[in-house]
Amino acid sequence: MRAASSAQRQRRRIAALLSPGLAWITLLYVVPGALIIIYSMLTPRLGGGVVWEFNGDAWTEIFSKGRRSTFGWGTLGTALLQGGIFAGVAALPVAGCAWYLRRSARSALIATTAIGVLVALNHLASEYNNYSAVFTRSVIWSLWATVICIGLALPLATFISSRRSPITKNALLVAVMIPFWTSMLVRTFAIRFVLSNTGPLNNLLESLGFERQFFLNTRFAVILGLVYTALPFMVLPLYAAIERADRSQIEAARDLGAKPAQVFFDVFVPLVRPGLWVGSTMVFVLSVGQYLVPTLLGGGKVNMIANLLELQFRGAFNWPLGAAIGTLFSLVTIVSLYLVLGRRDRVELL
Amino acid sequence: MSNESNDAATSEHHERGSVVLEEVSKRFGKAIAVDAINLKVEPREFISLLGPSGCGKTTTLRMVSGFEEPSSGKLLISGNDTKGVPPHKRQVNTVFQSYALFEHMTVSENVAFGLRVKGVDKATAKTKVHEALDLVRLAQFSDRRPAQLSGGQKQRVALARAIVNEPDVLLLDEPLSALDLKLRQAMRYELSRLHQELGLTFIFVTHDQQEAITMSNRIAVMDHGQIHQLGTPTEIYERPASRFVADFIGETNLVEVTGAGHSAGHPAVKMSTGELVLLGQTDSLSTAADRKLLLAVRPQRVTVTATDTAAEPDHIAISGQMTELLFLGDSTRATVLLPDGSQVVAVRYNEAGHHPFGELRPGDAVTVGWQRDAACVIED
Repeated sequence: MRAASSAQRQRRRIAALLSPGLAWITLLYVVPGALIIIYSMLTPRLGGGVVWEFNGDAWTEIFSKGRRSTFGWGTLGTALLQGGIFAGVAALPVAGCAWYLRRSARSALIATTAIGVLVALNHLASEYNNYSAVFTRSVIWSLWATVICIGLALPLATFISSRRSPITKNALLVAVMIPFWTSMLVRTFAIRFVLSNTGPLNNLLESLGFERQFFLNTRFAVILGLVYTALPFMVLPLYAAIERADRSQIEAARDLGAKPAQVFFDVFVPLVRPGLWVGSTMVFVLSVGQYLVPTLLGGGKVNMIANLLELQFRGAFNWPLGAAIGTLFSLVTIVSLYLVLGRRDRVELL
Repeated sequence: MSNESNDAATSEHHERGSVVLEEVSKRFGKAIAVDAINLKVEPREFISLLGPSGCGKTTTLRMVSGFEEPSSGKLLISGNDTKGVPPHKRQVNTVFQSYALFEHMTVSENVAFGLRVKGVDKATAKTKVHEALDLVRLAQFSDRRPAQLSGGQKQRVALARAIVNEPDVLLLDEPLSALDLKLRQAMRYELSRLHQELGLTFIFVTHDQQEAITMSNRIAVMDHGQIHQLGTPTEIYERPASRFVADFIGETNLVEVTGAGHSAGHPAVKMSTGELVLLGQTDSLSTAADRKLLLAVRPQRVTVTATDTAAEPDHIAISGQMTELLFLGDSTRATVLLPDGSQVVAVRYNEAGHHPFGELRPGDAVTVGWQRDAACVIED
């Protein structure tokens, strides 16, 4: 019989080329991933590790109401009230923006409602139990970091992209990436120093006649750290998106009578939207799993998911609970990644 | 126009749609893109800025639309000074060379954009968008995205998006250059029709002389930031004012001659061989003796006959030798070498059954000629 057909040989060659990568993924992602899921359903052993005996306590613990939680109808009422207040406060500025941008009243209504619902949901989750509180806090802080990164990166990327000389462009891009070359631990300690009670920031405040503030070990410090760490991951994809955006559409919008804010929201943002999605995903995923930043800048409290994980594995020696939290966390990340990047037009950018 | 804006009240009504450039210059660093040009575009006129790339025509257009600010000079639109007025506050709209359609919007959203950002109410906007799409014959494509349209369709969306705003002036930046030949020809008629139906001022930028000639009321031929000639297509074609214009617009025979005063009541020029050539025009350039001039004749006006043919009255006759005969499909092109070393090209339409140049073949001694009125002289 003749040797395998050329198509078969082709397939074998591809398999041979792919196998090292596949082995790597299996060894380092699939196996540990499966282990984590299995561990989450076993019995904790005193002093760490697991006893190979099925136990559903970890999952029950995560999803049951906290022992000291006062979660109930009252919480629902407070949540609705909070959501209502936030939506009410936001309504006027949102409506103002919609009017200025000549957007429909419906879009303003949707935005206001969304704000209210998010606030209410946040309140419910933070009252339900300790785990849901840490999850929502991680998500919200990471969302803040993402929004702030967008706010900082958009003008920065636009500025870099608007430079005429390619040398200047490259130099500025390298400047954005330079922090990568320093150890993250060193960088984070440096921020600790900057923010500390006797640090440069407080010295500056005092010389300006203000009182010294406690920056360290606050939400402010953690979000600042998250932004600092993740900013390049927003700048680079945004820069790429701006570079490939069709500038003539911006001119067309101006030509058709759009005010600068309208050009920005109606044409510029849609043009660079793929870059915004990729950047936001990277910043969010990086931030929500951050360990070093909340630990060093958040004052050793259980601030974010990674702190909770560490507590279970190294403090409480409840490995199954830690594994369950880790599983849930990965699930949330994977699902949100899929929702955001699963669409073809966004995948093409990666 | 249903919506006479406040601008009309402040400026003279009859000036609406006029564009006036007074000594307008634009410099980019050391380079001069537009060099002190003067131009007065009348309301409802279709004017073309014609010239090779880099001649300053697009820069001129961008100064009218507001994307470039003149370095010096004065630019008025509808009688109003435009100094410091940003693009979005000018009553002009542009059809861009690349179309620049908003890819994330449907066709009707694209067309509605200008109305939406100005806060026109939805019902009015919807009617106007529909009218504009009808005008460019794209009503059935209103829900498509630009990516789903052909080049010609995109072009028409770009047109509809501009005219729906009822601008005083419509600017067209080489709008047909990305289309294939057939479509380009069809769009010329479409644009002419739109111009007549809308009664707007059209400023059309192109490097294609054919486009400019077929559509415009007037043409401004530009090169090196200056307007070389401003006139109707006929004037530009029949009486080019410079070697550049004669060269740029269609094919022309240019023969170097010197002025020879008058002869037999006609202005006359002398070829380098000493032969005297009479001109029909009395209003053309002075043919004072020894002045260096160029004699320009269109190939379609040149006759090539066998040497023994009797000369017609009012006809120039110069003997030469045919060097080339080229079949071009619809016409035939003959090249004749004159005794002074210059070449004259003649083009004749082919007719069924007989050869436009008879029995003449390359190598034959021939007489080239033209009606005295057909030639003109240009300053060299």
